[in-house]
Amino acid sequence: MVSTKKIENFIVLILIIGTLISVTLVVIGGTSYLIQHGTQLLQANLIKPLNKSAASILQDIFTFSPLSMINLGVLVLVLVQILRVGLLVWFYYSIRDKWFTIISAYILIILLYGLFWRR
Amino acid sequence: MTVLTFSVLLLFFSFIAGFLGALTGLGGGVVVIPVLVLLFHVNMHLAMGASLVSVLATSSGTSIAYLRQGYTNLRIGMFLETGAILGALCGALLIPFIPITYLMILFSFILFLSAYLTLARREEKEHYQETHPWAITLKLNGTYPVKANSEQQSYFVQHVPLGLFLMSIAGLLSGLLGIGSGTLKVLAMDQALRLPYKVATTTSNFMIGITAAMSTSIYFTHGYINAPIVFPVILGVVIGSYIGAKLLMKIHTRALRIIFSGVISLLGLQMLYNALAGST
Repeated sequence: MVSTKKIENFIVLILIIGTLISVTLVVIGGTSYLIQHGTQLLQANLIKPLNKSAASILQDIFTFSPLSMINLGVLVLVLVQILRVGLLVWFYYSIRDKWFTIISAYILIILLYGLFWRR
Repeated sequence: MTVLTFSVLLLFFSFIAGFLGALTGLGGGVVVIPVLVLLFHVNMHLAMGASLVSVLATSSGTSIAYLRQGYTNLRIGMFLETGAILGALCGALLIPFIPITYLMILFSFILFLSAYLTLARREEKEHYQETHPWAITLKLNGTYPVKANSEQQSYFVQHVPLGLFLMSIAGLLSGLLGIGSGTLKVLAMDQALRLPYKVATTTSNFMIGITAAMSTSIYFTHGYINAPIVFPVILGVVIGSYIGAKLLMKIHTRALRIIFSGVISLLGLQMLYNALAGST
């Protein structure tokens, strides 16, 4: 049976990997963005809305533009949270903890609803 | 100001945000929003989006350290998250319909009250030997390290339904304001559940990432997550929160309470100013 300590260590591992991937993407995207636009004046860049779904951000990644890399970094951070909740659902189910299987599954469902919900 | 200057300054302030967020369980929004709105005159909604991203980064960075050190109570975090995440969903969906100005005035007074309550509690004088029945059923009681030599101390959870109620309000405000989630989460665990302060702040840090993930994805669709703003925020916050988390073990609880109260009082003042100045 999986112990609480083991699942905590596994969540830590996912957080480390996820954060490193996210930071790497953001560093690459941010540096490229600054090389291209660093000397420009600020205002015009700050008011541009994105208005994109998670799916369209994923499609944009293949353009490898600096901003899409940063967006992917944010998306990775969101996915890490979903992964850690998903992992807890599996953990509580595996130790037959009925209440916490329900609780963590409910959190996962609302998280996924929030991710894919569109007006 | 050039984009480069803006990015470097924001990186520095985000570092401070991450550092304070890690110690207080507040996330990074407390510093990120006022800096973006007051100093750089960024649109409030974009600042809120950046704040949510800073919370994601703080939560990820600090949870690594706090889970390893044994402070975070996963079961309390997940149980309370049920109220918080539903509140956050409702809050984010209600954004277009709620007058944020009045909400900010109300919230600023909640923050002043929180600062007072946080300072007023003397946990070292409390010795609970009994716990709430829900805490037994859900196995919420736990232990935490009191010294660097991994000596453990037990704690007994109180007033579970009140904590869950406060957590739902925390989630709702988080979705509506892009901030405030951490404040009320720490307050609910400190004042209602009567947890040791370090368990409250670290468990809050674990939870705020989950709630913020929910709100961030919705903010994305509103176009409020702006890449040029969020990239210095992520980098600064991750580094700051990592260093803050390393310090938590050594810092005295009383000092943490004073830092927390100071930070949320400033947040309250800033929020009141913003609401009255009509900058939303």
